[in-house]
Amino acid sequence: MWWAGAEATDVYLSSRCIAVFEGQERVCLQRLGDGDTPAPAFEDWAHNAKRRLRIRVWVSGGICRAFLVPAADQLKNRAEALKVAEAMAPDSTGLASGCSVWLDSDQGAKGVVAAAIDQGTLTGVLEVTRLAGLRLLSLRPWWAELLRAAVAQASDIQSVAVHDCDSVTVLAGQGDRLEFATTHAPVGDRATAEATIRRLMMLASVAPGGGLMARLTPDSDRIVATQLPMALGQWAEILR
Amino acid sequence: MRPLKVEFAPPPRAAIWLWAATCVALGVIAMHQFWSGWQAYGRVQALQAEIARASEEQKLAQQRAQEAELARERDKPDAREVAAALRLMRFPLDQVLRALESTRITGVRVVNLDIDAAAGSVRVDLEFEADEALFEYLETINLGEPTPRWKLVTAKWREAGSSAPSTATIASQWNADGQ
Repeated sequence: MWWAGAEATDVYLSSRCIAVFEGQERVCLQRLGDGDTPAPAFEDWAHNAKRRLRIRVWVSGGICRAFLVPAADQLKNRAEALKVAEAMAPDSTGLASGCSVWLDSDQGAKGVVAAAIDQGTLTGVLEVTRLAGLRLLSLRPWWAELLRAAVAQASDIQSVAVHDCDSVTVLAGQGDRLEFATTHAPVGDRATAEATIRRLMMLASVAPGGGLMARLTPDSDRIVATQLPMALGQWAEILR
Repeated sequence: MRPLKVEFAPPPRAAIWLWAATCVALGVIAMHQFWSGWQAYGRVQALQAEIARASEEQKLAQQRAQEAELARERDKPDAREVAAALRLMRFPLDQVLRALESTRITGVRVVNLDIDAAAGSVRVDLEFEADEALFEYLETINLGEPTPRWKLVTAKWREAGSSAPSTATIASQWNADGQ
């Protein structure tokens, strides 16, 4: 069905590269220098893309970071909780240049999971998409997609650690609750990432081997590639 | 754990042509509804006018009928008057007069005629000079009648020494067919 998104093009944006996938095939990979933002490279690709192309944009943990807004009984409603999250986001995530915040609808015992996205990247993607006549189907963090795939595979899983090309994100919880959410960036090499994940797992009180660790490579632990929109086999080069 | 529905893309907007088509469709529907309503309003107005006109006509007709009824009541003669008039119309006046005119007896003179058509009676006052003349008058006026119609009601003879003539009154009863 043409409207179901099966023919959509997947675009991955990070602070180190952008990659474009058509189905399971990577058709574009552009590396970024230190200090570069993905928006200009995305703009270059977008202006050469077909108009009205349907795209799904996935952003890395370096651009969209998870954090936990502590539970506060004084907050009257979701609007107040969102204001608190927006105020907390720069310090909690390190996105000091400005960010937009998404807030989960369910509150856990320790707080509410939130996600903050770099405002410059968000604005740039939306503007370029509009000017290039592309149809933006979604704009989501890649770690949230890995969480979805992991829960779909094992609903009783207690934690997910995602190492993508510029960050490490750890999410943990019991049952339906998410009690721990954080993104550590920048993270480059695999050894640093694994050490960071171990420390974060200890903070989340997750026993060794109690969760899923996913690197965007074919050897990602127990992740089934067919549950993700992009083939994991295409990621090895990205993470190098 | 559970999935997080993180989304930063704005919700999809319907295509402009879809909005335009929707607006046009809504406009057409609104116009159609307005036109139907307007026509219905016109029909209602016409019906109301028709009802008002019919009501007015009915009122006028009732008024006219009442007036006619009043006029009829006003002009309607009393039943007794009608009966009297009918009896008068049917009274055989000619026959009575003919009987009186054809009866001429010397010594008898008709001095007064009193006809009560409503009652069908006739009284005739006579002056007579002699009894024989009066009797002859009665016989003569009753000639041809199966039974004597005219009867002597009163008689008053002249007193001795008086110059006033003797008087008598005869009467008869008549019905519509002269009997």
